Amino acid sequence: MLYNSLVGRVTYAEEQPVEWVNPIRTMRVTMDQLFGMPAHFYLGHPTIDVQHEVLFALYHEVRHALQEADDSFEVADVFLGLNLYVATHLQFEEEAMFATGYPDALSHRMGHQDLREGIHTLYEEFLNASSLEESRTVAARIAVFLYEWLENHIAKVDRVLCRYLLDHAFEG
Amino acid sequence: MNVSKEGDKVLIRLPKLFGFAVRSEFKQATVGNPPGTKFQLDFHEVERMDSSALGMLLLLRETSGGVASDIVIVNSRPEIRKLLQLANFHNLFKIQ
Repeated sequence: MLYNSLVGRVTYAEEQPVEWVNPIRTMRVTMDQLFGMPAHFYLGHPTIDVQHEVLFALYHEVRHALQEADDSFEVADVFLGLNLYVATHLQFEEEAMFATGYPDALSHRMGHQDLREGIHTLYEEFLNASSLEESRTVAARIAVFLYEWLENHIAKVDRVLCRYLLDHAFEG
Repeated sequence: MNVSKEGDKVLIRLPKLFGFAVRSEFKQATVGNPPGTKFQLDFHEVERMDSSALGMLLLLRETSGGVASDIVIVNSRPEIRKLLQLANFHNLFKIQ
């Protein structure tokens, strides 16, 4: 079994050559590196890698919104997008665990719940902030919380899950 | 990137490289439209996307009404469609 980082999928020895090139990984635009996912977060599962890339893009959007650049979106809109995609991604992983009978599904789902509750709590704080300064402080805490969760969860917990899903030929 | 308006619909023809480099144009085209605005994103020319482009699509969805937004992605190439599917965007957008 071989994961080709430029083609975004696992190939087995008996398979035909690559059928799909991941447009993200082959794009060469310097600025997009700023919104990209660090290389060590790639786990070798095409679907989960792409979805993690989107989460990182949203993390960068939060930080960009805090800079209030001309091309940044409103922080509140970024949070809505983040909420939506966190739910979408976690649901995908949980369905994958269920479909394959993943043995550590319960503890993995507890990790997901930490993210859901953490984002929800901080978002409530953001909405209830009494000043612009306070809302900016909460937004910055959300960015830190998200990055730390991604760093711990992807690098450790998801790495084990992805290996299991690949071994069970689950691509989603 | 080419942007035009027809009534309550905004038509955006995205460039060959859809990513961070066009975010300023993309934001300008998509933010500040009246509620109920419909968006048609033409991917005919798009050969490459970066992850910030996927983020921008999600933010367009939220700035234009969230679940009530009306965004249609048309003319995407198979590899781009595959990418959108991996990202689970087929459950969040209309892809034709």
